[in-house]
Amino acid sequence: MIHGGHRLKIYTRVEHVLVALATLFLPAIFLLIYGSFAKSDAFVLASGLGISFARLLVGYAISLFVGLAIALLIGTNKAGEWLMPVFDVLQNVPSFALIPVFALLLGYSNTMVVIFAATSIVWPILFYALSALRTAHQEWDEAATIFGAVGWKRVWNYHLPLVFPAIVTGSIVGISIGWEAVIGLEIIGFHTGVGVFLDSASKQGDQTALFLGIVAILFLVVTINKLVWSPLLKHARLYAE
Amino acid sequence: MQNKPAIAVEGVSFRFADETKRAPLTLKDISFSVAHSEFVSIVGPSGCGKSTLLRLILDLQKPTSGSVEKNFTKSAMVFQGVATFPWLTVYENVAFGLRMQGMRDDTIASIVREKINEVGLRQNEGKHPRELSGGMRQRVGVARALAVSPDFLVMDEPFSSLDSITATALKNDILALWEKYRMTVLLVSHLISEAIELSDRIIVMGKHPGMIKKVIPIELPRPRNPRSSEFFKLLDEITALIDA
Repeated sequence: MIHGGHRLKIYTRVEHVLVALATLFLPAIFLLIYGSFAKSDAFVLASGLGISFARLLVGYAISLFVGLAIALLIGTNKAGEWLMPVFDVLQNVPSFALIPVFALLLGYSNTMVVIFAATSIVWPILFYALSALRTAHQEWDEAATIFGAVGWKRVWNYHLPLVFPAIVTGSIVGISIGWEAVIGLEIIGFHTGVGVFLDSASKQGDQTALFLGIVAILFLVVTINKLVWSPLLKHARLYAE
Repeated sequence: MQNKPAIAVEGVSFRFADETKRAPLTLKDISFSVAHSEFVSIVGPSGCGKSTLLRLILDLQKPTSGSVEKNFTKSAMVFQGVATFPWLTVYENVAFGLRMQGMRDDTIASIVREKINEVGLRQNEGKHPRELSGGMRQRVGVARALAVSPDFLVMDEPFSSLDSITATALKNDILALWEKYRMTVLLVSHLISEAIELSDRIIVMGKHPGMIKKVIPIELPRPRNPRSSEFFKLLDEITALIDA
């Protein structure tokens, strides 16, 4: 009966899980069937999409950790306010202007695209979480203090639930920016990933492959939205007053 | 420890932090003490620093000068507004302080159920605060405070956002719980009649800056009749003090 402060139940019925799994496999089946009709190599597209998605996921994981850590550091600490102008300036630097810098430091490697994606995704997560921490009711903060929420207990039982809806919203915005960063960078200077597939189709004038690539990305985005973000957004409503 | 007062506030003054350091004093030279098991209320006009004083006593803010001696082991607070956590159910809100103490789940369960029953929310323990009325939310706040077995309970205008029927019912429950547990209570209120009905003593404050005008002992026997002539006499005396 005792639950953690940060309880998370997304799928409550077997039907939900079945629908989720169906949503996951439908795009793959579509790709195989359509790919064979279009005489395009569905495997090349699927593997490219998989590589891009993996890059995005690692970049997102780094962004989530870094964004949340910085938000907690400066959002719960008066001294942290001094760092705000620094992050404010940094987030205004156009990501693509940094590509030559990243290329110089890391080369066109997986590490480079992951770090580049992370630098794009981190801002909405950081600023949405920061806003949630700063606009929280003073009485919640005082209640947490009076009832003994200190140190990591405070982070786990008070700060994380408090910023949870903001993290979900920030992640949705951040991931969409992250897709742009990953695909854009793959088109510019990579040999693998869905960006390379699209670029190659465009250069060869293969409109079917181009259409297939875009539809595949759409399928994946919709799948992630249905599987992850929609249930999390619904769950986040519990956190509203 | 029982020989000493539960709290002794000595010459406390407070000024909100201001970049120019020229902000006026919110509280000036406040001194009073509260004995163990005593029910003391602080009344005064809006803006006289009543709630700030509570926060200084509970270390939520630091006084500009003066000191607060504390001789209690565990404090809890019932807040004026929405201080229940919206992401937790009634049960989880009441269990919050106990979980922070690292108590075992089965011990928590028995304490939480007892407190939820005491405030009359047995049928609502799985609900979230947004599904409850204002009065029920405030009862969750009371149960959460009582769950940690405080020997010093602070209440910051707990009835101010409630309708009169709900406020009266909750007031009676709080009085019964105080008589049962005999913890020291410090209540802030802007309703003088409420303070007379509940308290052993009333601290009357004035504002600009916030300071103590008078401490009035209430010696009427409990349960108090708010329609008695003695009650009205006290009401007039305190009202005149605040208006002066």
